[in-house]
Amino acid sequence: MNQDQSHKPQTNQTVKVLIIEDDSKLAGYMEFLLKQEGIACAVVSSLKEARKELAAYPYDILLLDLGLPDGDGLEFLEELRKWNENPVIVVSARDQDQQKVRALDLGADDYLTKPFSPTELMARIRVALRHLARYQSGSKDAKVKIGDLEMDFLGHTVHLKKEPVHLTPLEYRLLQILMQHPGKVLTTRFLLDHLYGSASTSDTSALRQVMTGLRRKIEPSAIRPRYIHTETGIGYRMADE
Amino acid sequence: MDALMEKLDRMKSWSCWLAVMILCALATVLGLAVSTAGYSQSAIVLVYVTGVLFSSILTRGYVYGVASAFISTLLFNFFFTKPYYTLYVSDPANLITFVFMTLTALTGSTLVSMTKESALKAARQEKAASTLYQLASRLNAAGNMEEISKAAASALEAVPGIHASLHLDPEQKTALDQAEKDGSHIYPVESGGQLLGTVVMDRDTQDEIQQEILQATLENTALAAGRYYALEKEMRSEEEARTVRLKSSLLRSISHDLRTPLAAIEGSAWMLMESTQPDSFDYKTAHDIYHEASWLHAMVENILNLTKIQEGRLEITAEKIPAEEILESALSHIESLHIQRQFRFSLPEHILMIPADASLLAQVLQNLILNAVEHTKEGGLIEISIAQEENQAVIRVMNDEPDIPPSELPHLFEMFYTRPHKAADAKRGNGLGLAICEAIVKAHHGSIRAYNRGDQQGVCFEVRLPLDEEALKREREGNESGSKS
Repeated sequence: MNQDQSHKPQTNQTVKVLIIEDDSKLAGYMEFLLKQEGIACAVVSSLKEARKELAAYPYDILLLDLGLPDGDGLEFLEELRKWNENPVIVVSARDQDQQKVRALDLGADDYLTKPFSPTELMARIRVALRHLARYQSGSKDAKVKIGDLEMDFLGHTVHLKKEPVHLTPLEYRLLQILMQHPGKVLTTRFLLDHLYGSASTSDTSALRQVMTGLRRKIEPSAIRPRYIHTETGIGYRMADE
Repeated sequence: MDALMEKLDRMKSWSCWLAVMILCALATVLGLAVSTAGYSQSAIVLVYVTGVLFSSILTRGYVYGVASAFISTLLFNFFFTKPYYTLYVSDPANLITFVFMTLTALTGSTLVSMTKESALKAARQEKAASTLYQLASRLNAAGNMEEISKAAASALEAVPGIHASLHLDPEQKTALDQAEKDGSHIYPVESGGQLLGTVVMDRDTQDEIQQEILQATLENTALAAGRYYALEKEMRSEEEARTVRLKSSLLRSISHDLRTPLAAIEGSAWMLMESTQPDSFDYKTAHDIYHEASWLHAMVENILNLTKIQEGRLEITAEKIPAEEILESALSHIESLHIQRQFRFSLPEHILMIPADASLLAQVLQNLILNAVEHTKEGGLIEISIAQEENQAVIRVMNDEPDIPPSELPHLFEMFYTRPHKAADAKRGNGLGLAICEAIVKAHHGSIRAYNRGDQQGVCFEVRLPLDEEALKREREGNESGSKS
């Protein structure tokens, strides 16, 4: 909660969010919430308008409803990702995990399930803002530090509270993938593909085995993780701070 | 033929003796006539033998034929051998005549009796068969219990000399006790080890064929009654299923319509809260609206989930999920509620992979924990454990509150069943959480139950989920390789 105080002033002027939502009540609600936090935003109600807006102004964060009247939100996302890498948060009324997983695999950063609470929306926006800050600073460091967890990609070392952590090659690779995408929801599919490469299978239990092993080595508590959070039914998310 | 047999069958012994007497007398009269006409003795012997054969034909059993044979020999001796009108035998040649006459008569009468007996037996078996056939076809056609008992009763009537009554009511205990006191014989009508009714008879039967009919009647009736009860049960459960379907589709459509406006009310109330001062009356009002709307909203979502699961429309994507991930998912929501309870967790040492739909199982655990919170005093202890017991994953959520009366335990998982709760800070229950748990667990082929802990004060909710053999094997291998590295 302390972080959002520090974020507010710095994002006030610069960041602009595009809300792509055809339900005017919900769009108004989101607009209201964002403006409360001092974040500028615009609302469009169709994909056509969204394309026009995006061509006219470089929006920083997109809130994309997947159930729009004039087209498939997933296709729009795929098309968008070809030229735009800014954070996209998909909003889905369908509480089916499948839809979210597909959106995430197509490049969405995060998801919100309708109906959502103000806290949920703001938490997602905060993560997106931090992601944006990192992206804009263009940091491709050889070292990444999240909390007390430090990873040196060149030296192939991992330290927790300055103490070296011994990981198996698979655990190391998994942690590396996670550390490279802080704050982003990574689907099990994405993790499997990056962990095993071409030998990838659809056997998620192997991934979960490695994940559980890794977590036992770095997490202070297995059920209240500090670093790697489970997105139930979707995948995992690395803490971003 | 049948009719004659029937008549013979029922003939009283005195009438048999009378027939023997008359036939012997007739033979004697005929013999006297033959003798007066001057024919030889051998003709008279034949007349007597014929009489004996007729006696055997007209009576039932060997006794009358044999008796008739001896009487005829004596009469022949008395009337037709010298010295006449005495039983004295003067000519030894006559003795040979007597012996052979008796033997011939005996053999003849025995043969006749045997033929007749077997014909009679065949007739009775045929009758039994036709009775049973009729019973079977009537039982097959019977559409209700009344027709079944009628068919059985008419089959029992065909057992002669016995008064039997059928009671197809397993509850009729007092009537049975009474019958037992009267010295009646009672046969149970059973199907699949279940007592369906009884046959009460005024005396037991000794006859083999009657016994057969009785047994067959009992068995067939039991089968028919069992079939009928099964059918009735099936129909009843189908009816129940239809009612449940109707109820859930009604609930679903109402809930679906409520969902959107509730979300809007919730959102608007929140916006009002944001734009008012936290200590103002407006804020408090908006807060109340928000609170109630979100409670209703949660309930509506729960109903939608429940109806989905109950109708089997919910997709279950079972993957093997580590126990700690399920606990983490369940707790992530609960942590945000700032609940004033102590939690104690227990997880297996090894990585326990539970084949389940992660979201649904997490919801089960979350509901169980929220339920425990609701019924536990502030500051009370809630214990949550996940363990492996043989080839099952066992999840337990326990508190240290007083026992639930055993009579209430089976109702806990019913829809809309609520118990008065202890906690002031917990959201009031809507009687859906546990019903959802049960539906999800059942969809995972597992079992759920609640019991009082026994070893100490407290209530335990226990979920058991099957871990398939293959999964277990792979898990062990995985752990070995994990521990090596």
